[in-house]
Amino acid sequence: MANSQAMVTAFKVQALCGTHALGTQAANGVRTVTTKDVVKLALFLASASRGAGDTVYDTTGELAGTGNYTQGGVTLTNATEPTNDGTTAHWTPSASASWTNLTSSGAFDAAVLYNSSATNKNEISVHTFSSQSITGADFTLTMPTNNGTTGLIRIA
Amino acid sequence: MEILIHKLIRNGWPQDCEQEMIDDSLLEKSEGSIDDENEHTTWTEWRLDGKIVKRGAHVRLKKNVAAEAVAAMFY
Repeated sequence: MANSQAMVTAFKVQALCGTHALGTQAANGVRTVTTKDVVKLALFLASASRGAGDTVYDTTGELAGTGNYTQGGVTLTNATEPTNDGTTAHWTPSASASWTNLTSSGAFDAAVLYNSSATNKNEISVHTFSSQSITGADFTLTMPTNNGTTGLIRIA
Repeated sequence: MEILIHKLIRNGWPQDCEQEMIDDSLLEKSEGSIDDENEHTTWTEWRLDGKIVKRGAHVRLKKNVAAEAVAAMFY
């Protein structure tokens, strides 16, 4: 198996159930969201099998907690509210994820986003890229442009 | 100029440290990139005697994940 880029199916269901708050919203007669959930990003080995069928974040296939990597990953900066571009809604973390002086425990090719505020650490999405091994140097993952075409998470 | 490298393991070199400084003139530096529909990635590698002793990378994601929102019609 391999990692597959996907919005996790369970996240789509949970979006309909109001499980996640990637942004805030004013009182609208139903609910008020004043605190956004914390979204984290973790790195997974190329040998892992993360994909659309995932439900929650776990450490299976994640980089080991060595070489300046901490399992669980890093908290993503979320300063930009979800919005729409035409008929497409989109959301993108507002800053890169980075690791300093990292030595990865193996080759990795996937980043998993998950809701760290949720008790179950509900998974949001899997993003794949070319396999990378980092040795005693920095690794940075920069987000795509936040618009209706390239935003990291889109509902079209 | 000296740079910090990671876990240089070879005979005659210190075995008890995770990192050490080495003159960069002893290292072979190379850079590479990938640019496709999914990502723009650049990396820099430093090799000593053919072995990678330092490697960093920068991945810029281009491709997103999308959910199709469908409101069904009543028939």
